[in-house]
Amino acid sequence: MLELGSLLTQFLNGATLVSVLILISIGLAIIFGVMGVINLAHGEFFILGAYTVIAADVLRLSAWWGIALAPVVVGLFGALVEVGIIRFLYRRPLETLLATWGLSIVIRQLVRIVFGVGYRASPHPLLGDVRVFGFTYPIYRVFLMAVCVAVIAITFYVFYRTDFGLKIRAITQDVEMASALAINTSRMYLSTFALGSALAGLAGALMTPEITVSPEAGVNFLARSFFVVILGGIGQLAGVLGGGIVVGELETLLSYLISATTAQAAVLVIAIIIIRFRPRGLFGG
Amino acid sequence: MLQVEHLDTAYGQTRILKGVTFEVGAREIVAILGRNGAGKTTLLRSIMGLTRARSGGVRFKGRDITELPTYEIAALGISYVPQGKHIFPRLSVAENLRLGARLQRSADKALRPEVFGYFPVLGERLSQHGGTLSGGEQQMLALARGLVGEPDLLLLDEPSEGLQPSLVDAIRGIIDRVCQERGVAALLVEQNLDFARALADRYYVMENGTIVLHGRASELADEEVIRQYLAV
Repeated sequence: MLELGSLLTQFLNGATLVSVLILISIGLAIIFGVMGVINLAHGEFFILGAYTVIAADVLRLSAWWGIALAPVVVGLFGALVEVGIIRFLYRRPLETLLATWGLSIVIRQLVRIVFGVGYRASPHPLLGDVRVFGFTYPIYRVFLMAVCVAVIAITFYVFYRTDFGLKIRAITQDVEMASALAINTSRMYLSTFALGSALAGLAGALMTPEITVSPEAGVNFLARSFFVVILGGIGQLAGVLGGGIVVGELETLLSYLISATTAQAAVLVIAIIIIRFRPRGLFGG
Repeated sequence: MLQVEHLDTAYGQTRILKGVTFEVGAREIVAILGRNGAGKTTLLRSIMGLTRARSGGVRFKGRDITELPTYEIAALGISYVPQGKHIFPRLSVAENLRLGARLQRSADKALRPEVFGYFPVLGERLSQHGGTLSGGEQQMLALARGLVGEPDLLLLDEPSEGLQPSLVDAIRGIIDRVCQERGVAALLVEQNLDFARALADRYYVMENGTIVLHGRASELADEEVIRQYLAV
Protein backbone atom coordinates (compact mmCIF):
# COMPACT_ATOMS: atom_id res chain seq x y z
CA MET A 1 0.00 0.00 0.00
CA LEU A 2 1.34 3.37 -0.96
CA GLU A 3 1.41 5.79 1.88
CA LEU A 4 1.51 9.53 1.45
CA GLY A 5 5.15 10.03 2.49
CA SER A 6 6.63 7.49 0.13
CA LEU A 7 4.30 8.62 -2.63
CA LEU A 8 5.60 12.16 -2.27
CA THR A 9 9.17 10.85 -2.19
CA GLN A 10 8.52 8.87 -5.35
CA PHE A 11 7.02 11.91 -6.98
CA LEU A 12 10.06 14.01 -6.08
CA ASN A 13 12.42 11.29 -7.27
CA GLY A 14 10.49 11.33 -10.51
CA ALA A 15 10.79 15.10 -10.69
CA THR A 16 14.55 14.83 -10.26
CA LEU A 17 14.80 12.38 -13.13
CA VAL A 18 12.39 14.47 -15.21
CA SER A 19 14.42 17.65 -14.80
CA VAL A 20 17.69 15.95 -15.74
CA LEU A 21 16.12 14.11 -18.68
CA ILE A 22 14.72 17.39 -19.99
CA LEU A 23 18.12 19.05 -19.67
CA ILE A 24 19.79 16.28 -21.69
CA SER A 25 16.97 15.99 -24.20
CA ILE A 26 16.79 19.71 -24.95
CA GLY A 27 20.37 19.57 -26.23
CA LEU A 28 19.58 16.52 -28.34
CA ALA A 29 16.41 18.14 -29.70
CA ILE A 30 18.01 21.49 -30.54
CA ILE A 31 20.93 19.86 -32.32
CA PHE A 32 18.55 17.69 -34.31
CA GLY A 33 16.14 20.52 -35.05
CA VAL A 34 18.75 22.99 -36.23
CA MET A 35 21.34 20.75 -37.87
CA GLY A 36 19.42 17.59 -38.67
CA VAL A 37 22.14 15.73 -36.78
CA ILE A 38 21.17 12.79 -34.59
CA ASN A 39 23.98 12.84 -32.08
CA LEU A 40 24.56 9.28 -30.87
CA ALA A 41 27.45 10.54 -28.72
CA HIS A 42 25.10 12.71 -26.66
CA GLY A 43 25.14 10.14 -23.82
CA GLU A 44 28.93 10.29 -23.80
CA PHE A 45 28.81 14.10 -23.57
CA PHE A 46 26.69 13.46 -20.48
CA ILE A 47 29.30 11.19 -18.86
CA LEU A 48 32.09 13.58 -19.84
CA GLY A 49 30.28 16.07 -17.60
CA ALA A 50 30.30 13.51 -14.78
CA TYR A 51 33.98 12.77 -15.29
CA THR A 52 34.73 16.50 -15.23
CA VAL A 53 33.52 16.48 -11.62
CA ILE A 54 35.72 13.48 -10.91
CA ALA A 55 38.70 15.10 -12.62
CA ALA A 56 38.14 18.24 -10.55
CA ASP A 57 38.17 16.05 -7.46
CA VAL A 58 41.46 14.45 -8.56
CA LEU A 59 42.86 17.97 -8.94
CA ARG A 60 41.62 18.70 -5.40
CA LEU A 61 38.99 21.13 -6.58
CA SER A 62 35.59 20.90 -4.93
CA ALA A 63 32.65 19.23 -6.64
CA TRP A 64 31.13 22.69 -7.10
CA TRP A 65 34.03 23.59 -9.34
CA GLY A 66 33.46 20.38 -11.25
CA ILE A 67 29.79 21.20 -11.77
CA ALA A 68 30.59 24.75 -12.86
CA LEU A 69 33.37 23.67 -15.23
CA ALA A 70 31.52 20.73 -16.81
CA PRO A 71 29.34 22.71 -19.24
CA VAL A 72 32.38 24.76 -20.30
CA VAL A 73 34.62 21.72 -20.82
CA VAL A 74 31.96 19.64 -22.59
CA GLY A 75 30.75 22.66 -24.60
CA LEU A 76 34.28 23.28 -25.88
CA PHE A 77 34.65 19.58 -26.61
CA GLY A 78 31.38 19.72 -28.55
CA ALA A 79 32.69 22.70 -30.53
CA LEU A 80 35.81 20.70 -31.43
CA VAL A 81 33.68 17.76 -32.53
CA GLU A 82 31.56 20.07 -34.71
CA VAL A 83 34.58 21.62 -36.39
CA GLY A 84 36.50 18.35 -36.67
CA ILE A 85 33.78 15.89 -37.71
CA ILE A 86 30.18 17.08 -38.01
CA ARG A 87 31.01 20.03 -40.29
CA PHE A 88 32.10 17.66 -43.06
CA LEU A 89 28.87 15.69 -42.91
CA TYR A 90 26.15 18.37 -43.13
CA ARG A 91 22.99 17.06 -44.77
CA ARG A 92 24.31 13.48 -44.78
CA PRO A 93 22.26 11.96 -41.97
CA LEU A 94 23.45 8.39 -42.32
CA GLU A 95 27.10 9.39 -42.18
CA THR A 96 26.56 11.63 -39.12
CA LEU A 97 24.78 8.75 -37.42
CA LEU A 98 27.77 6.48 -38.03
CA ALA A 99 30.30 9.16 -37.17
CA THR A 100 28.68 10.10 -33.85
CA TRP A 101 28.25 6.42 -32.99
CA GLY A 102 31.95 5.91 -33.67
CA LEU A 103 32.72 8.99 -31.62
CA SER A 104 30.76 7.56 -28.69
CA ILE A 105 32.93 4.44 -28.76
CA VAL A 106 36.10 6.53 -28.91
CA ILE A 107 34.99 8.69 -25.96
CA ARG A 108 34.07 5.65 -23.86
CA GLN A 109 37.45 4.06 -24.58
CA LEU A 110 39.32 7.30 -23.82
CA VAL A 111 37.48 7.56 -20.53
CA ARG A 112 38.46 3.97 -19.70
CA ILE A 113 42.09 4.77 -20.50
CA VAL A 114 42.19 7.97 -18.47
CA PHE A 115 39.93 7.11 -15.52
CA GLY A 116 40.05 3.33 -15.55
CA VAL A 117 37.47 0.64 -16.21
CA GLY A 118 34.50 0.28 -13.92
CA TYR A 119 32.79 2.52 -11.38
CA ARG A 120 34.31 5.64 -9.97
CA ALA A 121 33.50 6.95 -6.55
CA SER A 122 32.46 10.54 -6.84
CA PRO A 123 32.53 13.36 -4.32
CA HIS A 124 29.23 14.49 -2.86
CA PRO A 125 28.95 18.24 -2.79
CA LEU A 126 25.94 18.61 -0.54
CA LEU A 127 24.83 16.06 2.02
CA GLY A 128 21.85 16.49 4.26
CA ASP A 129 18.08 16.68 4.08
CA VAL A 130 15.41 19.27 3.88
CA ARG A 131 11.90 18.95 5.22
CA VAL A 132 9.20 19.01 2.54
CA PHE A 133 5.63 19.06 3.88
CA GLY A 134 6.81 17.30 6.97
CA PHE A 135 8.81 14.65 5.12
CA THR A 136 12.57 14.66 4.64
CA TYR A 137 14.18 14.77 1.23
CA PRO A 138 17.88 14.99 0.21
CA ILE A 139 18.83 18.64 -0.13
CA TYR A 140 21.13 17.93 -3.07
CA ARG A 141 18.22 16.71 -5.18
CA VAL A 142 16.33 19.89 -4.45
CA PHE A 143 19.39 21.85 -5.57
CA LEU A 144 19.69 19.68 -8.68
CA MET A 145 16.08 20.30 -9.66
CA ALA A 146 16.43 24.02 -9.04
CA VAL A 147 19.47 24.26 -11.32
CA CYS A 148 17.78 22.20 -14.03
CA VAL A 149 14.62 24.31 -13.90
CA ALA A 150 16.66 27.52 -14.04
CA VAL A 151 18.82 26.35 -16.98
CA ILE A 152 15.79 25.03 -18.85
CA ALA A 153 14.02 28.36 -18.31
CA ILE A 154 17.08 30.24 -19.59
CA THR A 155 17.24 27.96 -22.63
CA PHE A 156 13.59 28.69 -23.41
CA TYR A 157 14.20 32.41 -22.97
CA VAL A 158 17.19 32.32 -25.34
CA PHE A 159 15.22 30.28 -27.84
CA TYR A 160 12.08 32.41 -27.94
CA ARG A 161 13.16 35.88 -26.83
CA THR A 162 16.66 36.61 -28.15
CA ASP A 163 18.16 37.39 -31.53
CA PHE A 164 20.26 34.21 -31.27
CA GLY A 165 17.12 32.14 -30.68
CA LEU A 166 15.32 33.83 -33.56
CA LYS A 167 18.17 32.89 -35.89
CA ILE A 168 18.12 29.31 -34.59
CA ARG A 169 14.37 29.02 -35.20
CA ALA A 170 14.76 30.52 -38.68
CA ILE A 171 17.45 27.99 -39.59
CA THR A 172 15.27 25.15 -38.30
CA GLN A 173 12.48 26.17 -40.66
CA ASP A 174 14.32 27.18 -43.82
CA VAL A 175 18.10 27.07 -43.83
CA GLU A 176 18.57 28.54 -47.32
CA MET A 177 16.33 31.50 -46.63
CA ALA A 178 18.11 32.01 -43.30
CA SER A 179 21.46 32.29 -45.06
CA ALA A 180 19.93 34.58 -47.69
CA LEU A 181 19.03 36.84 -44.75
CA ALA A 182 22.71 37.04 -43.85
CA ILE A 183 22.66 34.46 -41.06
CA ASN A 184 26.03 32.74 -40.88
CA THR A 185 24.64 29.24 -40.72
CA SER A 186 27.90 27.38 -40.11
CA ARG A 187 28.67 29.61 -37.13
CA MET A 188 25.16 28.99 -35.83
CA TYR A 189 25.66 25.23 -36.23
CA LEU A 190 28.85 25.51 -34.21
CA SER A 191 27.19 27.42 -31.37
CA THR A 192 24.16 25.14 -31.40
CA PHE A 193 26.25 22.00 -31.17
CA ALA A 194 28.41 23.50 -28.44
CA LEU A 195 25.32 24.64 -26.53
CA GLY A 196 23.64 21.22 -26.80
CA SER A 197 26.84 19.52 -25.65
CA ALA A 198 27.22 21.92 -22.73
CA LEU A 199 23.68 21.14 -21.53
CA ALA A 200 24.43 17.38 -21.65
CA GLY A 201 27.70 18.00 -19.80
CA LEU A 202 25.95 20.02 -17.09
CA ALA A 203 23.34 17.28 -16.68
CA GLY A 204 26.09 14.69 -16.29
CA ALA A 205 27.93 16.78 -13.73
CA LEU A 206 24.77 17.36 -11.70
CA MET A 207 23.96 13.65 -11.73
CA THR A 208 27.43 12.54 -10.58
CA PRO A 209 26.41 11.94 -6.93
CA GLU A 210 23.16 10.28 -7.99
CA ILE A 211 24.42 7.63 -10.41
CA THR A 212 27.19 5.09 -10.49
CA VAL A 213 29.68 6.83 -12.75
CA SER A 214 31.13 4.45 -15.30
CA PRO A 215 32.22 4.80 -18.93
CA GLU A 216 29.00 3.02 -19.96
CA ALA A 217 26.60 5.17 -17.95
CA GLY A 218 25.77 7.42 -20.91
CA VAL A 219 24.04 4.84 -23.06
CA ASN A 220 21.13 4.52 -20.70
CA PHE A 221 20.53 8.26 -20.71
CA LEU A 222 20.89 8.52 -24.49
CA ALA A 223 18.15 5.93 -25.00
CA ARG A 224 15.78 7.67 -22.56
CA SER A 225 16.49 11.10 -24.10
CA PHE A 226 15.59 9.75 -27.52
CA PHE A 227 12.27 8.59 -26.18
CA VAL A 228 11.71 11.94 -24.51
CA VAL A 229 12.32 13.78 -27.78
CA ILE A 230 10.30 11.41 -29.97
CA LEU A 231 7.47 11.12 -27.47
CA GLY A 232 7.26 14.88 -27.04
CA GLY A 233 7.21 15.47 -30.77
CA ILE A 234 10.15 16.60 -32.85
CA GLY A 235 10.32 20.25 -33.76
CA GLN A 236 9.26 22.12 -30.67
CA LEU A 237 10.98 22.69 -27.40
CA ALA A 238 7.75 22.42 -25.40
CA GLY A 239 7.42 18.81 -26.56
CA VAL A 240 10.63 17.98 -24.72
CA LEU A 241 9.04 19.16 -21.48
CA GLY A 242 6.01 16.93 -21.97
CA GLY A 243 8.08 13.95 -23.09
CA GLY A 244 10.43 14.37 -20.13
CA ILE A 245 7.59 14.47 -17.63
CA VAL A 246 5.94 11.34 -19.04
CA VAL A 247 9.14 9.27 -19.30
CA GLY A 248 10.67 10.42 -16.00
CA GLU A 249 7.61 10.15 -13.75
CA LEU A 250 6.38 6.93 -15.31
CA GLU A 251 9.74 5.26 -14.87
CA THR A 252 10.10 6.36 -11.25
CA LEU A 253 6.58 5.37 -10.26
CA LEU A 254 6.84 2.01 -12.02
CA SER A 255 10.22 1.23 -10.45
CA TYR A 256 8.54 1.67 -7.06
CA LEU A 257 6.24 -1.21 -7.96
CA ILE A 258 8.49 -3.42 -10.09
CA SER A 259 12.26 -3.72 -10.54
CA ALA A 260 14.09 -0.69 -11.98
CA THR A 261 15.18 -2.47 -15.17
CA THR A 262 11.71 -3.83 -15.82
CA ALA A 263 10.31 -0.36 -15.19
CA GLN A 264 12.65 1.13 -17.79
CA ALA A 265 11.67 -1.50 -20.31
CA ALA A 266 7.99 -0.94 -19.50
CA VAL A 267 8.35 2.80 -20.10
CA LEU A 268 9.91 2.18 -23.49
CA VAL A 269 7.08 -0.18 -24.40
CA ILE A 270 4.49 2.38 -23.30
CA ALA A 271 6.31 5.07 -25.29
CA ILE A 272 6.29 2.88 -28.40
CA ILE A 273 2.55 2.27 -27.96
CA ILE A 274 1.89 6.00 -27.60
CA ILE A 275 3.96 6.78 -30.69
CA ARG A 276 2.05 4.09 -32.57
CA PHE A 277 -1.12 6.11 -32.01
CA ARG A 278 0.42 9.59 -32.10
CA PRO A 279 3.26 9.27 -34.64
CA ARG A 280 4.11 12.97 -34.40
CA GLY A 281 4.47 12.76 -30.65
CA LEU A 282 2.24 13.81 -27.79
CA PHE A 283 2.62 17.47 -28.61
CA GLY A 284 3.35 17.28 -32.35
CA GLY A 285 0.88 19.12 -34.57
CA MET B 1 25.78 47.59 -59.75
CA LEU B 2 25.57 43.90 -60.73
CA GLN B 3 27.61 42.28 -63.49
CA VAL B 4 27.15 38.65 -64.40
CA GLU B 5 29.82 37.31 -66.75
CA HIS B 6 29.81 33.99 -68.62
CA LEU B 7 28.08 32.30 -65.71
CA ASP B 8 27.95 28.51 -65.92
CA THR B 9 26.00 26.50 -63.36
CA ALA B 10 25.23 22.80 -63.32
CA TYR B 11 23.29 20.38 -61.13
CA GLY B 12 25.46 17.29 -61.31
CA GLN B 13 25.97 16.55 -64.98
CA THR B 14 23.15 18.78 -66.17
CA ARG B 15 24.23 22.23 -67.24
CA ILE B 16 21.57 24.75 -66.34
CA LEU B 17 23.26 28.06 -67.10
CA LYS B 18 25.47 28.21 -70.17
CA GLY B 19 27.54 31.37 -70.22
CA VAL B 20 25.00 33.92 -69.03
CA THR B 21 26.18 37.52 -69.30
CA PHE B 22 24.18 40.61 -68.37
CA GLU B 23 24.17 43.54 -66.02
CA VAL B 24 21.93 45.62 -63.81
CA GLY B 25 22.75 49.30 -63.36
CA ALA B 26 22.16 51.43 -60.28
CA ARG B 27 18.45 52.20 -59.69
CA GLU B 28 17.57 50.07 -62.69
CA ILE B 29 14.85 47.42 -62.87
CA VAL B 30 15.81 44.57 -65.17
CA ALA B 31 13.50 41.72 -66.08
CA ILE B 32 14.60 38.20 -66.97
CA LEU B 33 11.91 36.53 -69.04
CA GLY B 34 11.63 32.97 -70.14
CA ARG B 35 9.71 29.74 -69.87
CA ASN B 36 9.76 27.27 -67.02
CA GLY B 37 13.10 25.48 -66.99
CA ALA B 38 14.95 28.21 -68.86
CA GLY B 39 17.25 28.63 -65.85
CA LYS B 40 15.85 31.86 -64.40
CA THR B 41 15.58 30.65 -60.82
CA THR B 42 18.99 29.00 -61.02
CA LEU B 43 20.37 32.32 -62.18
CA LEU B 44 19.10 34.09 -59.06
CA ARG B 45 20.30 31.24 -56.83
CA SER B 46 23.74 31.44 -58.44
CA ILE B 47 23.94 35.17 -57.76
CA MET B 48 23.06 34.49 -54.09
CA GLY B 49 25.62 31.69 -53.88
CA LEU B 50 22.91 29.15 -53.03
CA THR B 51 23.89 27.20 -56.13
CA ARG B 52 27.57 27.37 -56.93
CA ALA B 53 28.76 28.58 -60.32
CA ARG B 54 30.98 26.17 -62.20
CA SER B 55 32.70 28.96 -64.08
CA GLY B 56 32.23 32.62 -64.87
CA GLY B 57 31.65 35.26 -62.26
CA VAL B 58 29.34 37.67 -60.49
CA ARG B 59 30.43 41.17 -59.47
CA PHE B 60 28.42 43.39 -57.16
CA LYS B 61 29.37 47.04 -56.58
CA GLY B 62 32.70 46.23 -58.21
CA ARG B 63 33.46 43.32 -55.93
CA ASP B 64 33.79 39.69 -57.06
CA ILE B 65 31.15 37.80 -55.05
CA THR B 66 31.21 34.52 -57.00
CA GLU B 67 32.89 32.52 -54.21
CA LEU B 68 31.44 34.34 -51.20
CA PRO B 69 29.17 32.45 -48.82
CA THR B 70 25.50 33.35 -49.11
CA TYR B 71 25.30 35.20 -45.80
CA GLU B 72 28.11 37.56 -46.85
CA ILE B 73 26.49 38.22 -50.22
CA ALA B 74 23.27 39.12 -48.41
CA ALA B 75 25.16 41.38 -46.01
CA LEU B 76 26.63 43.31 -48.96
CA GLY B 77 23.15 44.52 -49.83
CA ILE B 78 21.48 41.93 -52.07
CA SER B 79 18.05 40.86 -50.95
CA TYR B 80 16.56 37.65 -52.32
CA VAL B 81 12.80 37.14 -52.46
CA PRO B 82 12.52 33.59 -53.75
CA GLN B 83 9.73 31.95 -55.66
CA GLY B 84 7.10 30.41 -53.41
CA LYS B 85 7.71 33.15 -50.83
CA HIS B 86 9.75 31.11 -48.35
CA ILE B 87 8.57 33.06 -45.37
CA PHE B 88 9.16 31.32 -42.05
CA PRO B 89 5.77 29.73 -41.38
CA ARG B 90 6.21 29.19 -37.64
CA LEU B 91 7.68 32.61 -36.93
CA SER B 92 5.39 35.57 -36.35
CA VAL B 93 5.09 38.31 -38.95
CA ALA B 94 7.09 40.58 -36.65
CA GLU B 95 9.84 37.96 -36.28
CA ASN B 96 10.00 37.41 -40.03
CA LEU B 97 10.46 41.15 -40.48
CA ARG B 98 13.00 41.40 -37.67
CA LEU B 99 15.19 38.87 -39.47
CA GLY B 100 15.16 41.15 -42.51
CA ALA B 101 15.75 44.28 -40.42
CA ARG B 102 19.01 42.83 -39.08
CA LEU B 103 20.54 43.79 -42.44
CA GLN B 104 20.07 47.54 -42.02
CA ARG B 105 23.36 49.32 -42.17
CA SER B 106 22.46 51.78 -39.45
CA ALA B 107 23.51 50.73 -35.97
CA ASP B 108 19.97 50.46 -34.71
CA LYS B 109 18.38 47.34 -36.16
CA ALA B 110 14.87 48.21 -35.09
CA LEU B 111 12.00 47.66 -37.43
CA ARG B 112 10.98 51.03 -38.81
CA PRO B 113 7.29 51.81 -39.13
CA GLU B 114 7.72 53.11 -42.71
CA VAL B 115 7.52 49.58 -44.01
CA PHE B 116 3.87 49.43 -42.99
CA GLY B 117 3.25 52.41 -45.24
CA TYR B 118 3.90 50.05 -48.12
CA PHE B 119 2.32 47.01 -46.48
CA PRO B 120 -0.47 48.20 -44.18
CA VAL B 121 -1.98 44.72 -43.89
CA LEU B 122 1.18 43.38 -42.21
CA GLY B 123 0.96 45.98 -39.48
CA GLU B 124 -2.34 44.43 -38.41
CA ARG B 125 -0.96 40.90 -38.36
CA LEU B 126 2.31 41.32 -36.46
CA SER B 127 1.79 38.58 -33.90
CA GLN B 128 0.26 36.09 -36.33
CA HIS B 129 2.38 33.17 -37.58
CA GLY B 130 3.61 33.64 -41.15
CA GLY B 131 2.08 30.33 -42.18
CA THR B 132 -1.42 31.48 -41.27
CA LEU B 133 -1.40 34.39 -43.75
CA SER B 134 -3.18 34.19 -47.10
CA GLY B 135 -1.08 33.67 -50.23
CA GLY B 136 -1.15 37.34 -51.09
CA GLU B 137 -0.24 38.39 -47.57
CA GLN B 138 2.63 35.90 -47.56
CA GLN B 139 3.93 37.47 -50.75
CA MET B 140 3.65 40.91 -49.12
CA LEU B 141 5.55 39.58 -46.10
CA ALA B 142 8.30 38.08 -48.28
CA LEU B 143 8.66 41.40 -50.11
CA ALA B 144 8.58 43.43 -46.90
CA ARG B 145 11.17 41.16 -45.29
CA GLY B 146 13.36 41.67 -48.33
CA LEU B 147 12.96 45.44 -48.13
CA VAL B 148 13.36 46.26 -44.45
CA GLY B 149 17.07 45.46 -44.64
CA GLU B 150 17.50 48.44 -47.01
CA PRO B 151 19.15 46.48 -49.82
CA ASP B 152 20.75 48.07 -52.88
CA LEU B 153 19.56 45.26 -55.12
CA LEU B 154 16.42 43.17 -54.95
CA LEU B 155 16.28 39.74 -56.57
CA LEU B 156 12.62 38.95 -57.18
CA ASP B 157 11.61 35.49 -58.36
CA GLU B 158 8.13 35.60 -59.92
CA PRO B 159 6.49 37.86 -57.34
CA SER B 160 3.19 37.76 -59.24
CA GLU B 161 2.98 33.98 -59.40
CA GLY B 162 -0.27 32.45 -58.23
CA LEU B 163 -1.84 35.72 -57.11
CA GLN B 164 -5.26 36.99 -58.11
CA PRO B 165 -5.19 39.95 -60.56
CA SER B 166 -5.98 42.66 -58.00
CA LEU B 167 -3.08 41.48 -55.84
CA VAL B 168 -0.77 41.31 -58.83
CA ASP B 169 -1.49 44.99 -59.44
CA ALA B 170 -0.95 45.82 -55.76
CA ILE B 171 2.40 44.00 -55.66
CA ARG B 172 3.48 45.70 -58.86
CA GLY B 173 2.57 49.09 -57.43
CA ILE B 174 4.56 48.43 -54.26
CA ILE B 175 7.68 47.25 -56.12
CA ASP B 176 7.44 50.30 -58.37
CA ARG B 177 7.06 52.71 -55.44
CA VAL B 178 9.83 51.14 -53.38
CA CYS B 179 12.32 51.17 -56.22
CA GLN B 180 11.46 54.78 -57.10
CA GLU B 181 11.40 56.16 -53.58
CA ARG B 182 14.34 54.24 -52.16
CA GLY B 183 16.50 54.08 -55.28
CA VAL B 184 16.68 50.29 -55.12
CA ALA B 185 17.76 48.34 -58.19
CA ALA B 186 15.88 45.14 -58.98
CA LEU B 187 16.41 41.99 -60.97
CA LEU B 188 12.99 40.58 -61.68
CA VAL B 189 12.42 37.07 -62.97
CA GLU B 190 8.99 36.77 -64.57
CA GLN B 191 6.80 34.76 -66.87
CA ASN B 192 4.09 37.39 -66.77
CA LEU B 193 5.02 39.63 -69.68
CA ASP B 194 2.65 42.47 -68.77
CA PHE B 195 3.90 42.57 -65.19
CA ALA B 196 7.51 42.75 -66.36
CA ARG B 197 6.78 45.37 -68.98
CA ALA B 198 5.05 47.64 -66.48
CA LEU B 199 8.00 47.57 -64.08
CA ALA B 200 11.23 47.01 -65.96
CA ASP B 201 13.58 49.41 -67.71
CA ARG B 202 15.27 46.65 -69.70
CA TYR B 203 14.69 42.97 -70.30
CA TYR B 204 16.61 39.82 -71.17
CA VAL B 205 15.00 36.66 -72.52
CA MET B 206 16.47 33.33 -71.44
CA GLU B 207 16.10 30.02 -73.19
CA ASN B 208 17.87 26.79 -72.32
CA GLY B 209 20.28 28.52 -70.00
CA THR B 210 21.42 31.28 -72.31
CA ILE B 211 20.26 34.78 -73.05
CA VAL B 212 18.75 34.88 -76.51
CA LEU B 213 17.31 38.38 -76.68
CA HIS B 214 17.50 41.67 -74.84
CA GLY B 215 16.34 45.23 -75.17
CA ARG B 216 14.44 48.08 -73.61
CA ALA B 217 11.21 47.18 -71.87
CA SER B 218 9.35 49.90 -73.78
CA GLU B 219 10.02 47.91 -76.96
CA LEU B 220 8.52 44.77 -75.46
CA ALA B 221 5.05 45.59 -76.75
CA ASP B 222 5.98 45.36 -80.40
CA GLU B 223 8.06 42.23 -80.19
CA GLU B 224 6.10 39.30 -81.54
CA VAL B 225 9.33 37.38 -81.11
CA ILE B 226 9.09 37.57 -77.36
CA ARG B 227 5.64 36.00 -77.32
CA GLN B 228 7.22 33.23 -79.31
CA TYR B 229 9.92 32.68 -76.67
CA LEU B 230 7.47 32.84 -73.83
CA ALA B 231 4.68 30.79 -75.39
CA VAL B 232 4.36 27.45 -73.70
